[in-house]
Amino acid sequence: MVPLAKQFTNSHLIRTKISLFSAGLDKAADEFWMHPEFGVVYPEYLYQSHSIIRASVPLMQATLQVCRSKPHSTEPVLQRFADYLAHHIVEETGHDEWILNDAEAIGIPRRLILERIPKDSAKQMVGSQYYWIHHYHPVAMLGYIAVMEGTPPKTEFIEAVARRTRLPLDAFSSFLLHAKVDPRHRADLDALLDDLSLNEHHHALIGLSALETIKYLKTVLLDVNSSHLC
Amino acid sequence: MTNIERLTDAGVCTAGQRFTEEEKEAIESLSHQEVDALISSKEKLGEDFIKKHVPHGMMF
Repeated sequence: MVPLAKQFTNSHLIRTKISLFSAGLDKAADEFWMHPEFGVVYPEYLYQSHSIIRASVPLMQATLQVCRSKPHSTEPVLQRFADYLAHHIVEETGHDEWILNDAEAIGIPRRLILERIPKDSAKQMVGSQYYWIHHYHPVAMLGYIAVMEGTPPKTEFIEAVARRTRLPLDAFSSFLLHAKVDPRHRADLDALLDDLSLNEHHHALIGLSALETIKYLKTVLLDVNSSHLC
Repeated sequence: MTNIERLTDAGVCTAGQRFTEEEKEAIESLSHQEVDALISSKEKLGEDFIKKHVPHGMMF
């Protein structure tokens, strides 16, 4: 195992890795926001986003349960992580409803989003975390959360997208609400990471989980970006 | 062989690509498994997009 970077805090090292891994995802995200047929691909984005976000709280609940059960219940890192999750689950509850509200704002019934069969990319992205949690080590979930909450949208950015695309601002409520809460959530997660006594194996698992999450997110966005061709 | 050399040989980094000292240190701290995963994902490290704030939007 390669020694950890000495000058970094845990959060700094994990954020630097994510930045390095994210060039392809960032490019796909940029192409999504600047898509010439944004009004056509945005409903597909909402559907795919909902497929992922509705799993967030159940995924954290599963992680919490495993952290507090044998054989992990004596690991200090996981007990601190479990305490964080118990708090964060409450903060994240109901966010999938925000996406359904956004769909309704552009005339898509909630039922259509809820009933549509999820795509493989969403299932793989969430499902891989269940594997890490139940069959290897739940610390990997930190990589998933770090990616998901790592680039909170800014209010002015979303307002500019709404103006440019001529979609109602109500169709972006999820982004606007996350713009308010996610900077603090990111800071809370970074504080947790810096408080944990992570060893090299933990860092490798978090890095692998983050890399997988980035890979799946990029697949989702590339799929969304080409959905206007269907 | 350093991680940067492995990643360059695999085409994940471009030869002579500039990284900050922090980025170099982070890359060299990657485990073998992380480097293998990066190589198999065929992602490119770096590029200008990492300097931009581009929300992917798939939030929690």
